[in-house]
Amino acid sequence: MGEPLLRVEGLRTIFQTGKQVVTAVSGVSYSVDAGETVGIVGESGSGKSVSMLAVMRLVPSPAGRITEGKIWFRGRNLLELDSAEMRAVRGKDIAMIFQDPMTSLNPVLSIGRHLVEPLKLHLGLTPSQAKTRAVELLQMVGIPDAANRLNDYPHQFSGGMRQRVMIALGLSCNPKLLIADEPTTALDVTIQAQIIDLVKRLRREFGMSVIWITHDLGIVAGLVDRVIVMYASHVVETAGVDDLYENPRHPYTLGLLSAIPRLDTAERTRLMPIPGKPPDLSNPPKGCPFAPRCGFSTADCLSEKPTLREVAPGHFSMCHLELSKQAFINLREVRVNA
Amino acid sequence: MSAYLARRLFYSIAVVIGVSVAVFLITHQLGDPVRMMLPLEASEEQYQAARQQLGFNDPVLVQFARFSVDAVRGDFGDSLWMDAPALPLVLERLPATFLLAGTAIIIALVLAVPLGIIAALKPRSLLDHVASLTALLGLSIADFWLGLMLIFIFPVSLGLFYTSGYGTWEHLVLPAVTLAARPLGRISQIVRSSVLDELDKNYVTAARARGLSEQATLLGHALRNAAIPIVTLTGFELTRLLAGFTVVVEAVFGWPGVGLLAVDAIERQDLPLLQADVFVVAMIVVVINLLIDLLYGALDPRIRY
Amino acid sequence: MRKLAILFCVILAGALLLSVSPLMAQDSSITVAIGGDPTTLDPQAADDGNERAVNDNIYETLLTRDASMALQPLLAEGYEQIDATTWQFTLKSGISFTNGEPMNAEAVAFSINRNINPEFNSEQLSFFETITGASVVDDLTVSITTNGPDPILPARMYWLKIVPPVAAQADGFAENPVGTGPYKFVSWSRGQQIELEANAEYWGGAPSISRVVIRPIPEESTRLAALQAGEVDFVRDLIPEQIDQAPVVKHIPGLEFPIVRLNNKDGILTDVRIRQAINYAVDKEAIAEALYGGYAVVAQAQVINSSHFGFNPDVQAYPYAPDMARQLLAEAGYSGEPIQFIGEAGRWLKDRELIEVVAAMLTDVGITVDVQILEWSNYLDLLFAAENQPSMIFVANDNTLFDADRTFSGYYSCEGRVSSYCNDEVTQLINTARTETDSAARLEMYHRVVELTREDAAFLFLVNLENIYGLSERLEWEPRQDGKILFAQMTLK
Repeated sequence: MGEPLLRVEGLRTIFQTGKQVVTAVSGVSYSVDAGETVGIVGESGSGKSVSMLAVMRLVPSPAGRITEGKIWFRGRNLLELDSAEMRAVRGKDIAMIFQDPMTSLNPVLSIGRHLVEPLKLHLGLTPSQAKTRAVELLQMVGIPDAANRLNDYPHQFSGGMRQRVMIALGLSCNPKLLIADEPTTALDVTIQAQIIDLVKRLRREFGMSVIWITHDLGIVAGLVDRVIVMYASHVVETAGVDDLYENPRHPYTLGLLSAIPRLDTAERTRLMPIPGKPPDLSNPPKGCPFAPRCGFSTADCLSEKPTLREVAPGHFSMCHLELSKQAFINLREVRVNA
Repeated sequence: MSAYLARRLFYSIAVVIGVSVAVFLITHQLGDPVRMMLPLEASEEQYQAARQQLGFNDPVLVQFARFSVDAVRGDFGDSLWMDAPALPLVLERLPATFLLAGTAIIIALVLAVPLGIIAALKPRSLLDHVASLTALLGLSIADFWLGLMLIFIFPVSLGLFYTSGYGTWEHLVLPAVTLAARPLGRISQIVRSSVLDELDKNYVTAARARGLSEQATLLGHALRNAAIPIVTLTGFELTRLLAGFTVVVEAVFGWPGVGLLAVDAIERQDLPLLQADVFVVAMIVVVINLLIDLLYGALDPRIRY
Repeated sequence: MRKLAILFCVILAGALLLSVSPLMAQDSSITVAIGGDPTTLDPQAADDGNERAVNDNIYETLLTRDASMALQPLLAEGYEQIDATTWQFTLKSGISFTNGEPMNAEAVAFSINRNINPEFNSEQLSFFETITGASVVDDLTVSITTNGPDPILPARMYWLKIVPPVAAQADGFAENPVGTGPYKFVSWSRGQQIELEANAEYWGGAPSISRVVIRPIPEESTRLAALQAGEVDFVRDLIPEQIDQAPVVKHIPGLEFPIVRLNNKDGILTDVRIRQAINYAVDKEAIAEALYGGYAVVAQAQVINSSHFGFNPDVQAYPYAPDMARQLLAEAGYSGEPIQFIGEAGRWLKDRELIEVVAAMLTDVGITVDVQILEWSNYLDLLFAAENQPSMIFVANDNTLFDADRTFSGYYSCEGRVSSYCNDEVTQLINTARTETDSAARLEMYHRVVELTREDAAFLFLVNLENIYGLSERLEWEPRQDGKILFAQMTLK
């Protein structure tokens, strides 16, 4: 396998308000291969969205800024591009769709106007070509009567339809990478499934890589190839999706898995919320960021921060301990009985 | 749309009638217009004769009936002080006020929009502070003082423009600039805050993520949304000026507008003139508000009538 | 950078040069600034100084006043009193209005009857209240009748402007004045300007300045600035603070007397000693100097000056004597009871400041003053109140009839509409004088009124304001005591 499509190295992003400095992403590294779908999972505030905004270089400034790291995309470090070069990447090579389809479309512009804009900008289409393409895109994402809906405004579409429009927008210039930032969170369950199916289908058709950000491990199971778990600005575990589900190595990942209600097992496991709260990122703990909430933590965990290391082929975990699946099961028993 | 217009028209008429009635009732509670007309030494007989002749000795209801019937015909009677019908006196002064207020608002907009945008693009930067200070200055400066300073600097010291009068664009410059100060301040503040608000919204991030330039994001996306509060405020400032708040500037620059006329009418309790003035102002406010409402529809597709 | 600095200096120098040599029109036309637009240009309808500033140059009266304010014939050749209530005026011949109508007995009789007609409802009626009618005797003789002996009738004929009967009955007369005077009306754009041109056929000889543009500029500072910028040649009503900045200043004692009316009918001021104390307590000279920059003279305990018939030259102002004031207050047993002092603000020059200075001076001698500055219509209610009159109320009087009767019967008499002073002897004298046709005897009575009211401290007498005018360097003109601005008396250098 050659160079991955996207390789993030040691990315560090901070937010500064007055004297207070919050580290949103601290030294994160990961990569996404061409054609691969990667899920980034974590609770809100874990840095998953910010790390993606960093890839797009859209971290809200002046408060937020990238202080360290490299973002390699198709052989170029995005952080070294000038703003015109970066704009040529956004929307064309890397597209992003957002959590809330209600607010991500401009309420005073028609859907057609939204769609035509990047087509003219990145692909240099004429207005009539762009319009034809816009209709095709809407048809592709399953919007009925697409030609007649170009002149409609966002408020005339339902939430699910709007997310379809957002996807059409994202795919309009055949991007190499689609970043989907919790695109189904705001939608109800049936619509969620439809959107996921849509992305699955389009991923094949367009042959693109997808990064799917979510706080819900359950959603990514059937969708992604690999999962990156983030906690408190760190990547704490990364592995192939089956490997991760079968054999989680980081106590936090286990916690997340336990929090998923399972209907397919006979075993009546109780839904296990992880006790405690994530650390204050303006004043991060010296040792492992998860240690204060971790059932296995030792004195070492509190004093020394672990590194992300390969615990099995292609499986990385940021933990001092060698934990097996049995250990987790034991822990769960202890908790349930307690 | 036409149903909406019909409804609006009905409300507008109701507003104009309501305002006219209110003015009639209020002005009849204030002082005695006849006493103000006559010299202080006028005798009691002259005073009574004048009251009788002007109809102020009739019962208020009779006066009101007379007022209503005439007002419907557009006749507000003759001005008590000026020997002429009241409504034409007001209408005659209107173009000068329109010209002054319109120019002032255009100057204010042309300066305030870029100023507000510059401030919004770099919040808390030096440019922002300078722009905010300019806005605050424009807002808080007394137009009387500003007008006199401009007169002193330009016509008196530099021989540019005129101290007063009406006729050419050179007469218009100083009063319009003076009058623009406050709307300039207010509009640039609202431009700054609404653009800042819009730039913070998700659709802006989304637009940037599609590779749009800052300029395209600002002009093509954020400003379109920020326009609604800006239009509202601009309309308000314009009606405010047309309603007679040009008076200080008119007095300083000897501008023959409706503001001075209105203030004279109030001071002299020239009831017919005052009623005609309020009627005209109410009409203007109603029309401008209607135009602004229609403009909203053009600016925001979510608004439907 | 240096180049830029030099350029800047050149521009600045150029601008300065421009400002010292303002461009002036080369023909004999001038621009005049007045304080406001006339309410009408009908010369008989309003009591309005802005209207007079225009119409004084278009219309004429039967009699005029010379520089010393003595009555002289103008349209009249002469006049005589036929009996107690009848006066006969003979007119100059060959004079016509600028529209061609003859100025004859018919025109004069028409003008008088129009002005006093109750239907016409003129604001000037109080100037003509004694006149019952006028009739044509022959083409150049008019007879005027009064409701009783009226010694002031000639003075009234300085007020009443003669209008052309045909034009005056036509529509639009109030916007299109037509007179016999040295200037003809050209145009009026309300609020903008009024244009006059010289009447080439004027019977007294065409005036030297051929064209006059009159512009209303309400704000005093702007009027001055317009003069400084060379936009106008003449401004009226400059305020004392501005005098240093005007190119040429002319000033003359005017007709305006700010006074404080004292209520001797009821309340605490019924005691003459307190009224006198008030007069002793106020430093009139300091007021003239400090408040009016020296452009005011102390009023000699009367609300008229030497230009008015009835002025008593032997009566002097109350000196500033605060100790005397304190002593009188002590004698009167005054022990700090509050005295109401009503005022207004903005209607007369420095009214508010004057009220405050007076109140401070009264406080200095131990009087408790309760100053209330009221809104104009509330103020008027109290000024005209017949019952519960205020103890002290500020007012300003200007007597444009030049006869003491107008001021005395309004302010000094028990029956005056704006009077809160009642003294039977004074009222008797005023009423007798009004119908006394022997002018020496009448003068005697007015002198007596002035003596009595000074002694009785009928008012707090203050100062007599001056009228201040600003002129451009090229204009020559001398101000008149009656405040009239006659363009025919102006010349260009």
